[in-house]
Amino acid sequence: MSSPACKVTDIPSLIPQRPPILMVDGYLFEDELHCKSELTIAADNMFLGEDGYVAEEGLLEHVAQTSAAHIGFLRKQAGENVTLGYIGDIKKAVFDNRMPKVGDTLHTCLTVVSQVGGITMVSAETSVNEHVILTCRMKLASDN
Amino acid sequence: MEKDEMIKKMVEILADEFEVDAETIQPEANIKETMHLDSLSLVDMVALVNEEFGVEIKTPDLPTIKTFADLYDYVFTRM
Amino acid sequence: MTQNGTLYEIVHDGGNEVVVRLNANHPVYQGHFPGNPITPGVLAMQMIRECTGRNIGRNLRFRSIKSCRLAAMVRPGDTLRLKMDISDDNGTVKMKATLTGAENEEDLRLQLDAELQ
Repeated sequence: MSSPACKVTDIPSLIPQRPPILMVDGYLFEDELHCKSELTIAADNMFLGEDGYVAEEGLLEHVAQTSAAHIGFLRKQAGENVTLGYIGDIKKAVFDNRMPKVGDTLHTCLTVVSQVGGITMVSAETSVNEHVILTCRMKLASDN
Repeated sequence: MEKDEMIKKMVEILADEFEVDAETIQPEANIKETMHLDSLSLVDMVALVNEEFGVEIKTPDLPTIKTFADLYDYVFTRM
Repeated sequence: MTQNGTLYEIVHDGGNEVVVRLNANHPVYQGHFPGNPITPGVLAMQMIRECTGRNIGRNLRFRSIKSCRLAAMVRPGDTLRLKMDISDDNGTVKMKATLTGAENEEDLRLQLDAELQ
């Protein structure tokens, strides 16, 4: 079984996404239903706008990849391959006015709310400097 | 909570979440057809039942829950 | 970054209804996914946000998303029809949008209900 609080920085071992759309750089397994993740915004982040701030869609992609990393981590623990996953839906997403910029680190806490077949529903909260910038619910559909 | 009370609450929250008329939620009616559930919204129902009643519907049990009466029985015996 | 002309181009502009074509050579497809290009759902959302902003004449950000359903996959090269229902109330823009196949409106790809500003 998984040991508690296991940190992974080799994110490509957990998810199929690759640059330029790799939006997680640290993953922390807490238990089957909880994990945390991080992303420090690099100058070449593809979601940076002309105004110097990360677009809202970049935060959503970060949450989606955090969920994918959690699903991938659990699959690897079970001896299975990492598979493609897709966002099925996003609900009740609320954004703060202050969006992150280059050098900021996103911290995300993710909870698995329920899981039915290949669909995982998560609830997530993303902060920068302990200030919440996004809360949302998301469903991820995974290939088998 | 009595079963009648649970059923009343269940009908209310399902009608609200899935935007259907509460009158259509009859015990013998088919859940998926009545509330137009697909594989994604089925997960919403499972999450809602867990949040509101503290009952986790296990994936292998889902095929046995076809009608609202099945759902009430499942939830009531596990509350 | 405005994606118009890179991720997609508008091939028909009918105000609240536009037809877009997704460019196959956007760099995102190198990573999403290697050897299996699929348009990230969030970029389809960004495209809808940009088209909404274009429609009302200013840049918009999402404030909240009530729901966004990604019903079916979007791939580079797809030609899609975007229908927007927009109301602008004192700076808060309420928007409902559907993205479907350009020819077949039964071919639902994405449905969005959101507030922007």
